[in-house]
Amino acid sequence: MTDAAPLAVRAADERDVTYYGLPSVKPSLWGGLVSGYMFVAGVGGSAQIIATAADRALTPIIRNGRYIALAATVLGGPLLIIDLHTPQRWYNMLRIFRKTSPMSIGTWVLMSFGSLSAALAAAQFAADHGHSPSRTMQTVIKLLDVPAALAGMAMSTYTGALLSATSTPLWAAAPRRIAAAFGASAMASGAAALTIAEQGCGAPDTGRALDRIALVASAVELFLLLSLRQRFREQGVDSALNETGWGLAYDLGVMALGAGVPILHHVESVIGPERAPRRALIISLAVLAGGFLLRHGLLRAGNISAKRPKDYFRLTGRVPQ
Amino acid sequence: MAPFQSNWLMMSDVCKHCSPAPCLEACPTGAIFRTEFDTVVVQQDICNGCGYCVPACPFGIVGVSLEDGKAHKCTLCYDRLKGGLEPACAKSCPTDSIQFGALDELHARAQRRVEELHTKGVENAYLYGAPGGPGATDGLRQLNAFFLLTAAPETYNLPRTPSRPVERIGPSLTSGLATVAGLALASLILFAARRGDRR
Repeated sequence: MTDAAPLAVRAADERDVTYYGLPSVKPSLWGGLVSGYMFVAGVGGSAQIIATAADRALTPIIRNGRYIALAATVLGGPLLIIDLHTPQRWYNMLRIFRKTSPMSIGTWVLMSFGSLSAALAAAQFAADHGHSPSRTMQTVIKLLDVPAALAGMAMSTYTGALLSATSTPLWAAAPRRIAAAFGASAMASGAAALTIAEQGCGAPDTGRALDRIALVASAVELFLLLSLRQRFREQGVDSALNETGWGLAYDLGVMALGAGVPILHHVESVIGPERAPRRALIISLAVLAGGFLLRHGLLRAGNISAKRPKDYFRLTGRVPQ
Repeated sequence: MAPFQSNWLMMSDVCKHCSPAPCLEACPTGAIFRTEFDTVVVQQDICNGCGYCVPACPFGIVGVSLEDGKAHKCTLCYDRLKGGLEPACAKSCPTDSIQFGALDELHARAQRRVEELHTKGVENAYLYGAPGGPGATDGLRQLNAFFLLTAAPETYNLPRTPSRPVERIGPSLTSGLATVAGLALASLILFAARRGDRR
């Protein structure tokens, strides 16, 4: 229909042409509240997954997992509501379910996970305070465990799809890897949160089990983080990281301290004769800090990339057929 | 031939009222909808200012007002259209460069104009946003507000091959869920192995 001849070849002097360096798209208005939610959602969702997967004899893990999952929803929901620019209309999110919108998908994931967490935590609370549930209640609770874990999986990763289903260069460049990295990071953070919680209960057996899970999750996370950094470079959108402090935050804070050092600790912990509980606590805090920094760093660097027309045009500059 | 129009490039950087519209597809409250005129409008009484439409738009059109806390964008003068009038930009344009009308008629008229310009020696004239051409790529079937341009899209601050963000959701969720499911399975195995160790 149209004559594409003028655009068949992009001349050398056309590369990196912009309109006086002005941005072509707008950055999101999101900040620490949204990255805070993404982090908290991942920790809670993954803590529930681990609690569901756990051996029924490991009651501390199950108990802590359920309470962490509930705490995540109780903390996360208000973070999102406060971030709205017309917060008094927050319930309008519940008017529809729109499968083309990760934010709509996420609203209902949060509602499902929140309801299931609340039910499981209530049951846990009753059991902890001597009210042993009837047989029917016990079956109901057992039936809720798997759906809660499934909702927890969605909680741990949908925020990656939320970022990538936009026109922000940094996020749009790596839809698969961002979501995968968020998922692995969430599982590592979930294990870390449970390790911290278990320090209070002091059950060494549960600590060992969590160590192995944390090792696998952190190893997968580090691999995905490296892969993600590579993808940004390939797509030509990594200037927002390299030319700002967020690149260093990613390399040093998220990869090295948030995943690399914990891996070394977990390997030593798994093959060695004794656990070092105090070091495990510090390492777990590092994993949590790395988890938050991953989301916050990508959010802030993404907003910077949206203001860089060269990055956007590199992503949207293929020769159309 | 001397540079066409002394190389002055003009473009009304209006909302493209895309079909499908990324802002509409991103809106979680249903505030953004498609009108009977095939335009895209934000309902001010429903929007809660989540701001997801802002980074979704491939053309950087939608904005959120920090004064009233809602998303705003060109409505193609919805109120004037309901009254049978043309949008204000089309009415005020003194050279009738901005034209309003039925889309297929406009496509035909624009294509004729491009061919006319080609015969006059303006070989770089092309349509941006017409189906199948630059601007209407990767899931964005067409831009209901389309343009006749005479230089590279980037010179006008337009992306050459914008994409529909929705197409990234499937791959993203699949990869993310697969990763988490894999680690969940690993957790199950590690817990079971631990139980095996103890016995």
